[in-house]
Amino acid sequence: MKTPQALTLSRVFPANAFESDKGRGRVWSKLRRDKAGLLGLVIVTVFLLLSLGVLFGWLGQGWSIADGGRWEPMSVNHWLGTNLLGQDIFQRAVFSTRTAFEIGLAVSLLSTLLGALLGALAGWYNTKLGGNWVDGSILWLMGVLDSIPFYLFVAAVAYALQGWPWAMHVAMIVTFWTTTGRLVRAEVMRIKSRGFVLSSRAIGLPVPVILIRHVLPNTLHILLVQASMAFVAAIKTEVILSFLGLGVQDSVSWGMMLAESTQEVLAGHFNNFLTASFMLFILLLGFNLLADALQDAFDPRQASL
Amino acid sequence: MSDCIFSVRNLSVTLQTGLGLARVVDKISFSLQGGEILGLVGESGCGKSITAAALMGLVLSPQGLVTADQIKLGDKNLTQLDEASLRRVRGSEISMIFQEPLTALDPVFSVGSHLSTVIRRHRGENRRQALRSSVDMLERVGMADADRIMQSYPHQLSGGMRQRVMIAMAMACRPKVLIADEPTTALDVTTQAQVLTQLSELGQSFGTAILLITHDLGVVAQACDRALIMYCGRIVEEAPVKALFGAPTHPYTAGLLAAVPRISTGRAQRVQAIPGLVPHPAALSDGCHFANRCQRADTRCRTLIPNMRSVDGPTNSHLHACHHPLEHSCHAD
Amino acid sequence: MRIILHNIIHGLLLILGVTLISFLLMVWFGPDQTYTLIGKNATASQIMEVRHELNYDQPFMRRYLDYLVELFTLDLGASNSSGEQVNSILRRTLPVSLALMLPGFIIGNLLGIVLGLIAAFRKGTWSDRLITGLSVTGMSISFLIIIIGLQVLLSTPYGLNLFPVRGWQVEDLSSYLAYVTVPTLSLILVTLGYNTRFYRAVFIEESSREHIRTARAFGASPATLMWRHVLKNSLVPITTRIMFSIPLVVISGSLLIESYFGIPGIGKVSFDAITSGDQPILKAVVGLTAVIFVLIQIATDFIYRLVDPRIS
Repeated sequence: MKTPQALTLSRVFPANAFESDKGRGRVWSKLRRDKAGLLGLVIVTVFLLLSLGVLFGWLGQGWSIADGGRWEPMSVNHWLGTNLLGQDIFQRAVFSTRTAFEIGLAVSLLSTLLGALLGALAGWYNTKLGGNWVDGSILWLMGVLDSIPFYLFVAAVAYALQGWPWAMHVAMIVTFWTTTGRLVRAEVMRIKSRGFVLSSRAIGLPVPVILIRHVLPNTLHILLVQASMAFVAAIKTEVILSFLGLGVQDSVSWGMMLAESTQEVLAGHFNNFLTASFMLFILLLGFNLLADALQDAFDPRQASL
Repeated sequence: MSDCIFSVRNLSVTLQTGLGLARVVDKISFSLQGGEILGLVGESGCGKSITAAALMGLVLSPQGLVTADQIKLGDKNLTQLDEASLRRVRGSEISMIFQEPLTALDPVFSVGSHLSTVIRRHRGENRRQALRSSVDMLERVGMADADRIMQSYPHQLSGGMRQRVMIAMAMACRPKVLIADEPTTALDVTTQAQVLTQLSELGQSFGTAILLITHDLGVVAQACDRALIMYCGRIVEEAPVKALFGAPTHPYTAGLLAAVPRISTGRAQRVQAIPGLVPHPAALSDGCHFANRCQRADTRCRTLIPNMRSVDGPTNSHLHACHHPLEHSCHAD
Repeated sequence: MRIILHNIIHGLLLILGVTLISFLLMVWFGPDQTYTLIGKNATASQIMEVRHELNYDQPFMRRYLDYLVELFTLDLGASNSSGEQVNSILRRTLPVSLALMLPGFIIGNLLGIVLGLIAAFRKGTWSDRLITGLSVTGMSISFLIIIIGLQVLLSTPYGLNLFPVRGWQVEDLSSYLAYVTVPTLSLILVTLGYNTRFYRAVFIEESSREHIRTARAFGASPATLMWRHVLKNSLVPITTRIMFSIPLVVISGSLLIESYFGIPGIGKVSFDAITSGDQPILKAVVGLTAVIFVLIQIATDFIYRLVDPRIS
């Protein structure tokens, strides 16, 4: 019989009847075979090492020294030239790696944690008929946060907490958790009725123990993917906030470099712009590829939602 | 054995599964005559549904590979048609109905739209004609107020009505062959009987041959003329229904029959389950696949694949693939 | 009837929440305008007077309730900085933002749908890989990089130098096109990756449904499958995404584009209001966004009913 090549629409139908085992080992072996995902992992690791180098004081320490002329071209002293103030662009770009990881890790970890906790609570207390006040108010909070224009909200938080270096982080955490929260809520509603949860309820474990020990570990696949996506979103938002003047303070980031470059490019100085763009792009690409691979490995059918 | 309308020779399907390549359908052959109903019987996962998909040309190349010496429908050999010609055959000369009519019908289209689309596509009728033919078809499958049904959406109908809509769609172009994949499994018992009657009546009057895929021997007894017993992707026994139930020769068939509860004999008999489990299709042994669950198996069974052989001599209507078949002193007929 | 009531109550709660949170952030914790209005060397009585005029001396609940009344009577007052009526500012800036953002928003979604269909339809082939690869690449480029890059490439002597560098002097169609092109291209590029991925995933999900197999078994061509069955079944998620991103794109997206290109739209006005603490404008923008959100929710519910016969 002919086997049509072009049309690859649906899964072959009962083929997934054999697809039963979904263990950790399979996820890892799938991940290892995913070339794009491995590339992402390598990129992220390299940048992580860079940022550790900065943290331990081995790299990029001269980022604020203005020992060059304004807009010097590439040279032995200043590999990628200097900016308006005569600061070394290469050093600034390397130092910014640390800034990026600081923001990315803080925001992705805390917003994912917040989303996991509130989402799990909402899902746990959801009743099919009507709803419980815990679920209702958490849903309401998510709806409210999602209805405020994002940059406006972040700008407002950043502004309200101005002067405090973590204002930007807090603003992002408070807005980023809702997506994770909704996904976790849906997943918890699904696993709530499974045997292992029912049995832990039957032996009278307290709710926090059930949620933390038995329910949340089963949402790990959502949390990992969401955390890597939040990392990307945090770094991208930092760029916008830096341009708007609400970004990091007393430090440097790729966003700050790009914000500086908005004036320079019109005068034909591209070093700042190209360097920061390149670093930013590669790291974001790495994280996006990693997030994709994680999603594929955990749930091939729901690939890339 | 006169007018053979559909004949399949050595159909095989290989699928990519989690455990590697698996030959889920292994060189099966059979043929159908106009108006007859052939049952394809087996446990779930034995390859029945994938056989149906392969016959319709619906198995897609990256995941599944289909090979066959011949799939002959009337005077067309489906193995030699390209995708565009196959599309013209699908739904008109060979048609299919599915187990779960709720998910098998598109939720955002009305019944009338489902029917008239198929009729317009294959019979080239205009919109008005197609709508009229659709109403006719619905009446033919016993829908009393066809005009109202035409406006309904699948979720507004009951399970039995949905399956009738499916049958109307599938029979609208008077196909030569209808593949019915577990058509009554999702229905309750009374509806099941009605739908089966409807199917066989339509098949009779249109001269359509029906391949009825089922795991339910009751359905076979009720509706089929002949039956194929499938195990792990192979046909193990083929027989007229009467001979099959009266004198099964393959140990697997006998096991299936023994697993059906009966109340005909005065005192309750214990239902006998076949020991063991169906093996994963990627982990099949050489020889007879049933050997490790069969009490009669010996080394020959485990190494040599048994061929299909006739049980009843030259009539060639009862065949099995077994090295150690059950003997019946007085064979039916 | 019960659904309408439910919608109204739900909407009111949402408006309350949004206004409460934004009022708290932008007004209560927002910048204090006393000294910008009267300078550093004011007497204590002058300060008291100005604070009283700005209502800074009122308790929180009082100010918040006043705000709600203003919002529902659409009596939004005048800007602190320019003295212009807020209503007239909105009338002036909102059309600019819509004219600026809508073309990119519409084209970005349409292109995303088409590319998503192609990718889903040819899932696993090289064209799918190309499209998903480009989407991931697009998602990895910052909005700011895209804007700067396009500006350099299209509007400066270092590139093609075809369009004005910045600003918004729109008088007729040709000047509109000149000013809107670069922002529109930026918006398309920055959203296309996300849109394509989202739509691809929706279409793949829909094309794995059993009724698609049925349609194939009845001889439907691939084009029929995609355009008739998959697309029509995907209308609910498509509607949701498009409808709910309208306010976000018009306000949040325009904020960056308008600040960058110096375009006098609603985004730039609200950002300036945040940094200068111009409370009447902020209150109006946030409150109206919440109201629009609720209206969109009701409209979306209505559209669901049109596109999916199962929802009633």
